Amino acid sequence: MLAKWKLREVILMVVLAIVCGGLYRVWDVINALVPTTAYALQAAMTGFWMIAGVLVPYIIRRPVAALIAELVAAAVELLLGGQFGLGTMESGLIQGIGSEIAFLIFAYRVFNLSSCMLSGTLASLAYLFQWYFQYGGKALDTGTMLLSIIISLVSGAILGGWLPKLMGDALKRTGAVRNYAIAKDGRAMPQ
Amino acid sequence: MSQPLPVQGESPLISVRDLAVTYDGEANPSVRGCTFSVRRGECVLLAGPSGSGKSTLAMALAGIIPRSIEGVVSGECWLAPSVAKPGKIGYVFQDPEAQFCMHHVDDEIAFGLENLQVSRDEMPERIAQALAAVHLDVHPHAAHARFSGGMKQKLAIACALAMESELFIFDEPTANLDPASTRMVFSMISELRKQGKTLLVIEHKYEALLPVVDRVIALGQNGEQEGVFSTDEWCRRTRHERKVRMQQEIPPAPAAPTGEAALELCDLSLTYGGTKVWAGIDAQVGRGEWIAIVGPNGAGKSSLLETMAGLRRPTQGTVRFSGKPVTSMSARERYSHIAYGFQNPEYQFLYEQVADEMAGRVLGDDMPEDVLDALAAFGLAEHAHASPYALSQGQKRRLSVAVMMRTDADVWLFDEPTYGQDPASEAQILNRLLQLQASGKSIVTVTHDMELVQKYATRVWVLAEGELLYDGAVSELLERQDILQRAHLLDDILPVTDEGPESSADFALEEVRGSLQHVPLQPSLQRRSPIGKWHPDVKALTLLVTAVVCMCCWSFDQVGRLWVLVLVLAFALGWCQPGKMMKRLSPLVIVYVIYLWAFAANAATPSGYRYVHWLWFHISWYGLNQGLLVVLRTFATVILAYMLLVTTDGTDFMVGLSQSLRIVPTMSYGMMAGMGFLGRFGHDIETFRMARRVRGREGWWIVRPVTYALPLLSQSVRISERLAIAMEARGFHGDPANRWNGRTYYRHVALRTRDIAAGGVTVAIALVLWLV
Repeated sequence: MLAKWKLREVILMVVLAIVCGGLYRVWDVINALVPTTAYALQAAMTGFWMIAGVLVPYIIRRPVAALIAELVAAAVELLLGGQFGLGTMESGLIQGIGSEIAFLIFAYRVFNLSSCMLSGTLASLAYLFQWYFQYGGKALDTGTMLLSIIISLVSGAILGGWLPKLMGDALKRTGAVRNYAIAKDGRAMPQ
Repeated sequence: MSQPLPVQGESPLISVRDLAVTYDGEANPSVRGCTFSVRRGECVLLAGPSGSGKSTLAMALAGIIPRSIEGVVSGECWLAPSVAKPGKIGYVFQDPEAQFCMHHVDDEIAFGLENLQVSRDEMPERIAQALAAVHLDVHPHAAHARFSGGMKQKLAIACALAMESELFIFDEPTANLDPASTRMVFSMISELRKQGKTLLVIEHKYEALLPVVDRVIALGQNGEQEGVFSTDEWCRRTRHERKVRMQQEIPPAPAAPTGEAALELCDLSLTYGGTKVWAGIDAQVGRGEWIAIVGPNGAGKSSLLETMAGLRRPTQGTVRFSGKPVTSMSARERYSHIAYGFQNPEYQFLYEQVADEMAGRVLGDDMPEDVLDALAAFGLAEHAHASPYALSQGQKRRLSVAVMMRTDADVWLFDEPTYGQDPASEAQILNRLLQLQASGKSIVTVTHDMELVQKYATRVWVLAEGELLYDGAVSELLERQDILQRAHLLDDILPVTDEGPESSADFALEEVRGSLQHVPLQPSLQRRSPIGKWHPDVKALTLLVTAVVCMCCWSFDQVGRLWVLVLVLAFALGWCQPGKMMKRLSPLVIVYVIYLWAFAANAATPSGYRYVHWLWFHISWYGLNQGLLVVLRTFATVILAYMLLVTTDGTDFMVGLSQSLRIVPTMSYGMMAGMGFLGRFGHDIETFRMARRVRGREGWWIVRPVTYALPLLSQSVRISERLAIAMEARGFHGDPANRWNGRTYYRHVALRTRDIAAGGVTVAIALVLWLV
């Protein structure tokens, strides 16, 4: 599965993941400044940590691209001194699997707004498990918890699905990615 | 037009007949009608204007097209059997940054040898020989990120030499280099020719190289071969052309400095990351002056220009515009008086359409006349609807200048205005600047181009050795041999001779030697610890699993037991130094305190627990306990992460993925190469944010996040493509790239039974501690 990747796709994946990892780190800092009491706002920020999982597969359109990209982005966030330690890698793994499943459902043939938003949502959903069990979600009262869950999912769809798709489309218009699958008229790469 | 010279005596190394190259998705070939041959031991110059397809032709000869770049090569292209094998054609690229995939000199050279499946025992010898051959006297295990551009190009040549390349292709190897580094590369070219290597050189400023050139292949504007000339013939031909060009040129406007200072620099110093960049700079920029800032690579010319524009705060001293400190002016006021052109014009783009960029707002389909006229004046009219990023390098620069021209600034600061420009677009931009100067504006340019300095500048500043070495007339500078030499400016003027390497390039090397040789030979304490000797990938997996177990602790008992494991791993087995670790991790403490408060003040308390209502908070011991639990288990994973980072060598980790875990090398080496980008990331972001400040759009990331990030993203894509091409050109394709056992490995990352056993035991202990 990995052997099919072209070298330039691997490097682009890493480089975009680095950009995303850098953005995540900035987001970590902003997130720490948001009062932790503002649950709605906290939840609304969730989706941003999923962008690598859509941006990369949207451009190179290969199986496991979402998972690896999200893992590399998490590793970069960690290298830049993220406050979540190896927990970051766990998040990356879980969110990456979430993102990946969406594209798998479409058999890696459909890369449009729906599949991207589904991918962001599933990544958010996957993260919610971690949030519930490990980052104290279950300590909240039921109302706040449900609100957080719903907002997180919507944030995943918008920040984690729609935003990276917009980024990919904008990059396509610049002509910079004309050697990648995204430029080849929405077709997936031959498997 | 002359015909290709008949092949005489020895058989050619390369012979092409009616070669044409068409890129995928383009209707017309970029290069066509090429018929020539290159004989063994020749040095052939490939000449032609920008965009005539010189690189395209060279890449087709080297097989990069169609292997790495999609395109169709038609016609006959015959390679002698001795160069048809992988690695026999060495390719040195323009951008020294984007052709390496490893971090250390020895790994870098070994990368090519691994692709050729050279046995591991042979490698150190060949690496040492290659380094000696290019006179790169550095420690073999030095990190090359901090090398000067000239040294990087030498390293690229060493990589090819180690692979025993017979044909060397130089694709504008000196475009990013200062005169001394350029000289260093030219001397190498001359030496390679003496050793009997065959050379194909693409170079804009080739005059100094002509003594070692045997023949010249000329391409025309439209990519058609104009002919093959002997060097003498070529000189006669271009001498005539140059004469014509000189007559057309507008003589520089007479300097009309009014004596009044536009910018004043008072006792300016800059310290960056603890090291002094430059200090004690006192100078003035008068109205109507054109000042050129010159100096070696890395002297801090760009940061001086940025400081003059108020984009960077000096460590000491002030910059005044009309008597007012620039740092006290508002950004809007400052950039209405000071215009700034970045080296990479892309960073200045704000919109996704050329016309929008010109108009400074989103236009849609109806384009005002004045915008179209302005575009036409810079030869961009037919690209009005295109994306600014899709333009050629020359067009991008012209667009950024055109946009800058809309402001009526008094001081124009330009970082390398002619970088990556063909002569026509260079002339167009410089003439615009001349007009500005004639109307009393001040121009300051940073440049490596001594020809530009001589022709246009009214005054020159030499920045080297951390100070302003010279501030005065250009003609006097040319007589000051001492300064020229100290600032690496001398060699531009002298032709390369057959005498071999000499020149101040050696002085340049002398200087860096001291700073580069002290490579930490002894691996750190942590790397020598039992954990440091653990197989890096097995270790990473084990620690990741341990971290997941930590994150699943629900009680203080569980957390406490796992903390014991973590502490034993980090300190008893990983030999981490607690003091150092706490210092490094201390910024996180604030974050954790905030978390604790959040839990204490907000957790829902089950019935039976006491709580206090204060303002809108719901404070409870129960909540604090819950928070403590979350913080403790997260912090355990932070310690694991810290330990992983200090005990692991990144290169071993990546190589191990293929060597031991049998992951396809494209993946592991590709990741390794891509990770190199992390080092320049910080710098790129900084420049990018400065560019936004100049255009008064710092807050745009909120309103238009996608457009805001676009310059950074498109730059990333371009670098990744270049890197991939460079790696494949070094034989990283086919089996060595696609099968873990299709290559040899310079580094031996051994996977022993005890590595796996240690992993199993650690995970088992973690699980037992979690369960009991």
